[in-house]
Amino acid sequence: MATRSINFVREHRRQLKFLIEKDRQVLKLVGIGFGVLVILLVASLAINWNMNRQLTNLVSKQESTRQTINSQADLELKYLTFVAKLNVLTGLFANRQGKQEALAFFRSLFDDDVKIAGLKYDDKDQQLMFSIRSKSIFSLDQVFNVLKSDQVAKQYPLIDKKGLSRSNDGSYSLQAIVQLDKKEIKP
Amino acid sequence: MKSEELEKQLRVLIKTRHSLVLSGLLVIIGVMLIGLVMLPQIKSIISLRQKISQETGQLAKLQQKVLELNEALISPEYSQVDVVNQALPSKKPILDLLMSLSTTISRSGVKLEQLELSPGLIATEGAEQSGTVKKQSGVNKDNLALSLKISGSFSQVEEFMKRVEEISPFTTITSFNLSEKLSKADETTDSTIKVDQVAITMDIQTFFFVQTIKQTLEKPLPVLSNTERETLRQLANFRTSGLAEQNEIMGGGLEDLFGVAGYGPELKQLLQEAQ
Repeated sequence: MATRSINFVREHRRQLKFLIEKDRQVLKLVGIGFGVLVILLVASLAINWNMNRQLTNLVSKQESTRQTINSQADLELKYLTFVAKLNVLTGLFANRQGKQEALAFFRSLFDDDVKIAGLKYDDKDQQLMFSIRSKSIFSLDQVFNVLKSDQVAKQYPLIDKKGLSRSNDGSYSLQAIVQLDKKEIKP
Repeated sequence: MKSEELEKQLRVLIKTRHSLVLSGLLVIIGVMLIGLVMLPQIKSIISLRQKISQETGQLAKLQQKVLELNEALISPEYSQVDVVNQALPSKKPILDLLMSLSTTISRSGVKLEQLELSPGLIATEGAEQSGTVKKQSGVNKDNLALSLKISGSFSQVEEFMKRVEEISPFTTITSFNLSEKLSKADETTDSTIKVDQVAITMDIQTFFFVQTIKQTLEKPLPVLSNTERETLRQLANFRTSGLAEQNEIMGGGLEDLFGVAGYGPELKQLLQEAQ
């Protein structure tokens, strides 16, 4: 009788061949991945180098610009002083504007029959006090009407009238205190 | 025995499956490259990007300041810097004030009856620079106070009051008391008082600048507001004292101070001979 033999080596070789083929495919994929990684690495090194160069240029330009500004430091100081002084002057103008406007306003209110006999002002109290003398009772009445008018009340709502007197010559005197900063009139 | 067995198996593995081994090596090297080189590079790029952004902003600010400085110095407002300096000088303007007052009094036609001035502390520029004179921080102005009494007609006094607030250095009337000025004849009779003359006592203040200006390299220049431009327009109408600034010592060099005969050049010659 002929004996049968089983060839295990052929099966093994077939399996091995399959594995080797699979390994080659894996190597191919890993190789491509590694190649991409190297390219990315080189790119990142290049980007890093370029950004460092940009930064160096920026710092250099900043230094140059700072030197330009420093060279004009005296002129800058003069300009800053100019602006600061102008700011102070603007405040000073504003502080006295009320007084100037009040003087001009009340001076223009009365006609020739009414004369300003006294005028007093104090910056601290922000009060303008004026004494007026009218030739007759009719002129005085006109003064009262003017001081009570809407035109005056709108501009200067706080006006205190006092000290009404009559002189031997028939003229009348009156004192009026105008509060310029719209606070209460201080006695 | 076991190690020989292991070595033999390893050799077989390398021989038969060298592609897999190579793949493994590549993966290990790749991971090391990512961890040791790639990640630090990415961190560095992110950090550099932030820094470049900051420095670009900083450079833009500095360049803007150079531009602002060049424009400000040739602006029509800055061309009036002398007007502003005269209106608000950086030192006590005693002589300028007296000169301006004198001009105003003569132009308005009033009569000066009394003048009182307390100049206070006066320091030379050298004293100020050495720090002997201490400036209060946060204070930008100081004033010189003056009291005066003038008389004239109502319109003259009114004219004076208007003009005195239009002189350089900047002067303002802080208080005044105007009353009728009676003539001697009127004081003795009960007859009708003719009000032609008034007398006014007033306190005025003249201001000067005392603020210390600090410069910061990167701070932008201040911009003038419309109100400040209006102030400049008003200042253009102010009258100055016309007093020239004295920058050198005038006079001096006298040999004979007292003008006594025999004690002038003759004395000098005698002293030289004695030496």
